[in-house]
Amino acid sequence: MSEASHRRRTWPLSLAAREGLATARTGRWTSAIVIVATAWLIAAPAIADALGVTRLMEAEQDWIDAGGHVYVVTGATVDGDQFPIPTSTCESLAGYDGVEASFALERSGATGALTSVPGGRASVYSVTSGALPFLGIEGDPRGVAILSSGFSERTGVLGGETIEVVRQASDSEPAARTGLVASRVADTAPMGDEYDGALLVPSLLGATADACYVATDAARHDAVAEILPGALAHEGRAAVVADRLYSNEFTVDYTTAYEDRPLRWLWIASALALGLMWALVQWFRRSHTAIYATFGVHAPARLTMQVSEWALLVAAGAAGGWAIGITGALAFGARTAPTLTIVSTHTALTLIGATLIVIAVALTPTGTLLNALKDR
Amino acid sequence: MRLAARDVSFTYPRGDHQVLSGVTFDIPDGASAAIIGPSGSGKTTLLSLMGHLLPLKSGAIQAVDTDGADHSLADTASWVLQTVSLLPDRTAADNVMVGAYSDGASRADARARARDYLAQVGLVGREDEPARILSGGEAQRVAIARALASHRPIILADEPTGQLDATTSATVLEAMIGAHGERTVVIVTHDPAVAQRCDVVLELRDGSIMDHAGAPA
Repeated sequence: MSEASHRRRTWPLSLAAREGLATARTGRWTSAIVIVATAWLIAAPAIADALGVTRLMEAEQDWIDAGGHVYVVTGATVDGDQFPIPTSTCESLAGYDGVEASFALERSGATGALTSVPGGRASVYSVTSGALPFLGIEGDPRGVAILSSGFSERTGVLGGETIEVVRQASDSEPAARTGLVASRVADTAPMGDEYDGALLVPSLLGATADACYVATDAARHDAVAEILPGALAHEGRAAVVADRLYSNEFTVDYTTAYEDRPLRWLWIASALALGLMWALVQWFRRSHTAIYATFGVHAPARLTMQVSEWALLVAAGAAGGWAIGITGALAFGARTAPTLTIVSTHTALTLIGATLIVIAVALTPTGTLLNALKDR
Repeated sequence: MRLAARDVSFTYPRGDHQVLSGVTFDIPDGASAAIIGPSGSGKTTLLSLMGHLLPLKSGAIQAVDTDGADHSLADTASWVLQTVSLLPDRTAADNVMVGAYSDGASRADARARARDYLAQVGLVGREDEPARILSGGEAQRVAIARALASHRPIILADEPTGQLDATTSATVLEAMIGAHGERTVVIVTHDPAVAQRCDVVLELRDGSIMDHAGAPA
C-alpha cells in the first residue's frame, strides 16, 4: 500500500450529493415524516389564508355592490335653495379616467304605476342613459323602464316584459304615459336604499338635474373626488360630493385589511417548524454524520449531502403541499385566483425559510466524533 | 505507517481523574498491536486519542511513513468501534462503499471493493441487505469490511471481535491483520487469542503502560 496515496481526501460534492439522495430514498419513516410534514405545513396555513382572503374579497365585493365606490354629487345649497348640476357634464363623466359609469337623476316628485298592475304605485325618477351601465344593464336605453328589484318582487313584473308606466306629478295634474316599453330589472342598492321599490325611466332631461351618480374604480376613487366639485359646478358654485356609503374609523379599509392580515405570515411558523424538525432529525442522526466524518466527509460535503437529501424530500412534500393547498382551499370555497397566488407564495417562502435553517444546521459543528459515535 | 506515542496524558473535561499518564510506545510500520488491560484502564481513551476522536492536550501521537513524514491520524486511520456504527437504512455494501469513497474510489471500484471485503469477512450474498436487519456480529463484520475498503494504512479497532464466535473471530482477524506489513493495526481487546495473534502487546493498567511486548518501548 503506497503511503504517498494517503494524503487528506475529501468527498467530491457530486458524490456527497448522490449519497444524500440515496439517504433520502432509503430513509423510510424519516423520509416519509419529512415529506408529510412538509406537505401539511405548507398546505394548512395556505388554505387558511386563501379562505381568509376570499372572505375579505367577498366582503369588499358586497361593499362595492352596496355603492362603496359611488359618489352622489349634488349642487351647492345657498340660503336653503339647492343648485342643480349640469346634466350633460354628468353624463359625460363616464369618459374620464377612473370613472366607470355616471348618470344624472331628476327627482320629479311624481309617482307612477303600471297599467298592467292596478294599484301598484311607486316613486318615479327620470335618469339619463348612463343609468343602464351604472346598474349593469346592457342594451339600448331607448324604450325601456328600469324596475328596482324591490318593485319587481312586489309587483311580480319580470325583466323583458312589455309594460306601460303611467306617471302623475299630483292628483290634480293629468297623467302622462310612457307608451309601451320593455322592463329591465336592476339592483338599485348602489344608488341607495331609498330607490328600492322605485321606477327609473331613462329620459331626455333638461340642462340641469338634481343629482349625479358617479361609479369609480377603486384605485382612482379619491382622485375622481377631487375633480367632481369643479366639473359639476353650476353658475360658479362648486358641487357637493358625498360618498354614497358613510365611512368612519370603524369602516373596513379592505386594502389595509389585506396587507395586514396575520395569516400571511404563517409561512414563518411553517418554516421554523420544518427547520426545527430537520434539526431534530440530524440530532438523532449525529452518529451517522460522525461516521461520514471519519471517512472524509467534511463541512462542504456534509452540507451538500444534507441539502441534497432535504431537497429531494422537500420537493416531494412541497409538490404534495401545493396540490393539497390548492384543492383544499377550492374545496372549502376559496376563489381560484387568490388561492393560486397565496398557496404558491406560501410554498415558496416556507421552502426558502426552512432551507436556510437546514443550511445552518448542516454547517453547525457536531462535537467530537467519539461523543457522536458513542452517544446513541 | 509507524505509530509513535510520547508521554501521552489525558483527563476528561470536568473530570479530576487522570485517565492516561505518560504513555509512550512505538508500533512499527505494518505491525499489529493489541492494547489489553482491565476495564477502566484507559484502553479506549488511548485509541480515541490516536484517532483524533478526542483532542490530545498533553504529549504527542504521530503516524510516520517510511520517509519519516508525519501524517494526521484523522486522515490515515480507519475505525472499527465497539458499538456498531453503521448506516442502518443503507445496505451492507453501501456501508462498505462509504469506506472506499474516502480513498477516492469510483462507484464501480467501491462496489467491487465492497463485494471483496464483505466476502473476506464471511458475508457473501448479504451485500444488498439493509444494515438494520443484520445481527450484531454481522454488523461488526460490515464495519470491519468498511475499514478495510478505505485502504487506509492504519486500522484502529475497539473490541472488533467482541460479538463473534471463535471461528468467525479468527477469519475476521485474519482479514483485518492480513499479511505482515500490509497495514498497521491497533486492536483494543480483552480476548487473549486476539492479543496472541498480534505482533505487539501493550498492557495498560491505571492509565500507564505496564508491559510492552514484541517491540521496543
